[in-house]
Amino acid sequence: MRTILKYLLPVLGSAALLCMLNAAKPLTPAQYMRVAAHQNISDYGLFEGMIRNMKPAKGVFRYDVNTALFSDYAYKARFIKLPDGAKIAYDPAQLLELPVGAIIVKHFYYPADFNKPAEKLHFTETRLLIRQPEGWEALTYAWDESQVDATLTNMGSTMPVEWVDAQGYKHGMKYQVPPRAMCKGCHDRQGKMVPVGITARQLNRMGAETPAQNQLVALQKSGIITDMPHISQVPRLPVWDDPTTGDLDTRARAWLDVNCGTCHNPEGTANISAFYLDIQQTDPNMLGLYKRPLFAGRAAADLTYDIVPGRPDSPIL
Amino acid sequence: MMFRPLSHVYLSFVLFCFTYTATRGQNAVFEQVFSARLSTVATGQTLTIPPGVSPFKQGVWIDGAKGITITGAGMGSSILDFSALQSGGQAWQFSTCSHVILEGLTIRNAPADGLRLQNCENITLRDVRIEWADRTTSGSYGVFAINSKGVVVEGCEASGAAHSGFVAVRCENVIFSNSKAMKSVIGIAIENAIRVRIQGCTLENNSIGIALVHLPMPAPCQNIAIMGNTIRKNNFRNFSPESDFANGYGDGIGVLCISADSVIISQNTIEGHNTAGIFFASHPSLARMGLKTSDKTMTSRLFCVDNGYDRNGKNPDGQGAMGIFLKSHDAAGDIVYDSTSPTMCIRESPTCVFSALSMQQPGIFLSHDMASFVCAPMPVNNIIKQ
Repeated sequence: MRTILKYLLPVLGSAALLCMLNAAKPLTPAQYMRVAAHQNISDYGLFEGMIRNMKPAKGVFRYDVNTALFSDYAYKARFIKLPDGAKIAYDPAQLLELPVGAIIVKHFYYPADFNKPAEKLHFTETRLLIRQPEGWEALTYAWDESQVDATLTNMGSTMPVEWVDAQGYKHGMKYQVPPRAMCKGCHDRQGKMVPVGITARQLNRMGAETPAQNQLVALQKSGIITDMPHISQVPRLPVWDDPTTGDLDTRARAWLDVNCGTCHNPEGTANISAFYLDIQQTDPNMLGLYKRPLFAGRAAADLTYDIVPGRPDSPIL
Repeated sequence: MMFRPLSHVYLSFVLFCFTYTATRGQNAVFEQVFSARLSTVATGQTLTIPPGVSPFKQGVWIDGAKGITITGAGMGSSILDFSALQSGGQAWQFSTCSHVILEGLTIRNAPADGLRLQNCENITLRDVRIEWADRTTSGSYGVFAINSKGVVVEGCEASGAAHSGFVAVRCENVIFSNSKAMKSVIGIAIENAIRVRIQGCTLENNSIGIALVHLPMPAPCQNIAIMGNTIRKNNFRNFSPESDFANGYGDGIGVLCISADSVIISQNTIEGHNTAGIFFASHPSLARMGLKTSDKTMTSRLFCVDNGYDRNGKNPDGQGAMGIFLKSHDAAGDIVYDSTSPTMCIRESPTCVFSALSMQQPGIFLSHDMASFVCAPMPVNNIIKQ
């Protein structure tokens, strides 16, 4: 007994001292909530087993969007990790408000054959958006040839990719993983880093993982979204290439919203163009109808107007 | 494993020293070294750019940097060449940066814009040159400041821009001093910016020396002082794309002011412009010139004081809608004024050739009488509120 105490007492003493030191310098909420940036995607524990199998770990769920941004033909798989018990605040028009500690994950990959989209996947990069106490932080991870893990990159890199398209034609190109500083090229609202696709209208659809259930309804049922009205009252972005989801005009506006409106909106990085293609825009002049281009430079290619209705060949767009 | 930026800084520095020593004069690998340094740069640090020509394959993007200095060996010595840029078109961008100094380098042959400042605060550019060798492929903007506050451009140069050598758009508190712009469509353009001072600059051999333009967007263009500049022979053929607003401005104009408010132009040398030394216009008058515009904003509170004029408006060649209009109304001269604008104050030498155009419907009336505009000018600081 005496021997045990001889060893135990110093240990207990040290533990008590540590507790006192900790009590003297308590962690601030910001330190407590911060998600540390890791060197590899595997360090976050976002997936079970091989990352490339994309099986979400506990607390991570997959989501899909109605109309995706075109990213050099890449396939994309999207996930959200929420801290235990955390909630997402519903918003009918703006971005859904994710809690501090949330991580949005997006894999970029190319199936060898686009007719077999689940086989022989070549991963290029995985991007994370982490909701830190002070705002969103963007991190980019590049995959290497071993296709086991992805490593944090600040500078970006290029890598060759090849694929066979749905019509059987072979393609190849140099894929560019952008440097971190370029994230704000798109993820910017008046200088603040923000997510882009996390809106109710984008998530209002059946999910790849939940083909029989609307993604938002699933989140509502699991208590993650609590303040959402009935799903019939939630706005829905059409799927640009699915005529059953909207007429040509609304599907065109959906495509323009996602592919152009991220920057071309009153608070985006292209706001000086005064040419706004976000889904909320209703002013015909701001939508570019018979509007002269501003700050388009040579991109305007000597054409006079942003958009001329009914004349897809003559305006700049 | 925890991400430890300090170890990266150290490693990058060692790499930098090694490669810099090994490749001095060639600089072929400088891009990689510089990108690595940039990705870990911290407040208070200075990055140096060696002398010589350094080719860049990717644009330089700097986001969120605070209190850093990037120093080259001088605009004639440290040259970053973007002719072979592989993606995007812009050479260099600062976004959401503050208290940054960039000095002593040249940015050459960017496929699109040279140096863009977006959502920045307190940026100093000193001894920086943006240039294009070939104007058939040149980018639109040399230094392009957007939505930024507190921008100082001193001792810089821009040459060959297809829209403007220097431009401030939706900015506040901007100073251009002792800088030069040449062979560009517009030397310095101020578009929907407030509290701007252009002082001691040389604008020579552009299509338009300085343009102050209220573009049709919801942001004012006002409180601008143009003081003590040399604005000479800006008769370069306008080579902006046809779609560009600037294409309609033509060429041969020293200072063009469209729908700007509270502007003082004082103690400048303005000489040798084919069409006009200074042309004050408003969007409604542009519409009467056949220039398409949707803006109704008028120019107002204009002051022209103690400028030196020589040989302006002697050879209007009728290029662009503006030139055609002025030539057809015999309105070329030192100061051309669209008198639909309220408040115009002139205190110039009697030899100043003045034309006031009254563009009221239905006709256009011309007067060369300056007397009714003579007044006591306001102190500069009351006008620019800087």
